[in-house]
Amino acid sequence: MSLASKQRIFGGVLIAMVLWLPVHRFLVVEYQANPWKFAGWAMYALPQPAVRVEFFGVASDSGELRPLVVDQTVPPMREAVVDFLTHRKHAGTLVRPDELADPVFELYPSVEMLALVVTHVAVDPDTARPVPKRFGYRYRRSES
Amino acid sequence: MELVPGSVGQIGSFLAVAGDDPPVDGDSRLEAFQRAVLLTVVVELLVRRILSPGSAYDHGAAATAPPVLLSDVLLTLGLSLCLLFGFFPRSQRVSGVAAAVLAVFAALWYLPETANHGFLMALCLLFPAFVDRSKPEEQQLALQALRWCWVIVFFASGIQKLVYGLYDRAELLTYMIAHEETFATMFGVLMPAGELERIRDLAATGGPYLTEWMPLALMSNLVWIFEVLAPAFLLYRPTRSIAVATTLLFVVAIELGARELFFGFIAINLTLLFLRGDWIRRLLPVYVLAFTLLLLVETGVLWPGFEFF
Repeated sequence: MSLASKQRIFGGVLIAMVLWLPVHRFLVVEYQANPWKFAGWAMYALPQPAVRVEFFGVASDSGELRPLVVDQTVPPMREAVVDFLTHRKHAGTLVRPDELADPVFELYPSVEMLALVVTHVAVDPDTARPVPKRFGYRYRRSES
Repeated sequence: MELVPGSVGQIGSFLAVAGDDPPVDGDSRLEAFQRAVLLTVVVELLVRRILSPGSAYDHGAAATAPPVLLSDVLLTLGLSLCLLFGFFPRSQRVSGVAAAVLAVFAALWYLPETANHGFLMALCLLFPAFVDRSKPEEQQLALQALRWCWVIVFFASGIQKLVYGLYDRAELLTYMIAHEETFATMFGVLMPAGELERIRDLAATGGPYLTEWMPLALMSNLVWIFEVLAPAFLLYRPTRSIAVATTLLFVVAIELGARELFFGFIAINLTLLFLRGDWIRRLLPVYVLAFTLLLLVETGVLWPGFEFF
């Protein structure tokens, strides 16, 4: 390969690095992607994002929506939650919590409908306080 | 401006801004740089994937140390062999290419958890692997690309801090002092005890993460301003030496709080690459000593119970 070709390739890689930056910013702002990841060079620009998941269920008998106490420290929930939170923290809303529905339906046989609330917490530049941003997902037993 | 012979017009001129003028005779910087980066990659894999696998992850409340995977072992072994064979002239080129391929593979394999310096390390191995080091013009091309690469990363880091808006009132630093022991220790030496205590309490009250100590706001703004300006001084030949010295001090100061050891090593080597002398080769024994110390600490041979990460 000629020197000129190598120059074009190296130049292309460097230009791609620069062009990637606005894309990275778009992923962070629109999809809550982790600014510390994906070669956007925004480490320490923001605190590492914090993500948590809460479970709510509608029981078939009462029809009431109530919070479900899901022990996230024992298998199989632990693996499912850890895997989800890890991916969600980095890839943001591009990762859905679909894989969490089945294990929760198994834990709660009477629950017909499940609502998952995923909360991302980030420090707001205006108030300098952590601000939660919530995303809801609904699952029906038959759909899961 | 010294263009590399045979260079393409605009791209050649653009790359040559980061070049040496006049070129360095008998240049060995690229080889030493490659070894230093590869050594860092191997030690990081060894520490964060084999010895303390939990340190490479952040699983939140339900965190448990993940198991060591076969892929972790194979990648560490493969890159170690590349490092070893890189010392033999006959296998140097092949091992360099293999190391670059493995580093790119590792950066993709560990997605989405790949740290940014994982991508940077892959690029640091990719550029030298792509050139024939027996040809001075190709060697110079790789050096130029690596320098530009660091300029882009350094500048982007500063711009990102500005864009996300948590540096003008030191919100990010206040947050880190409130939540991270290493930051509290570092700034505790500098700031009044009362202010440190007030900031540490913010972790429980949830902010606002604002400081009443003006020097912290000043330091916070200096960080992003330095990151935005320093790359220009690294590129401009008359100011290169002083820019290298200041950048090295800056990286060391950041590392006292951030403890991003492996990123720090890569940053130091990329910065040293702007000098005409082969400083990385001279420092290689120091790196080996530092990494040996780190491995002894991580294995518990030295200071059992001490956790660096």
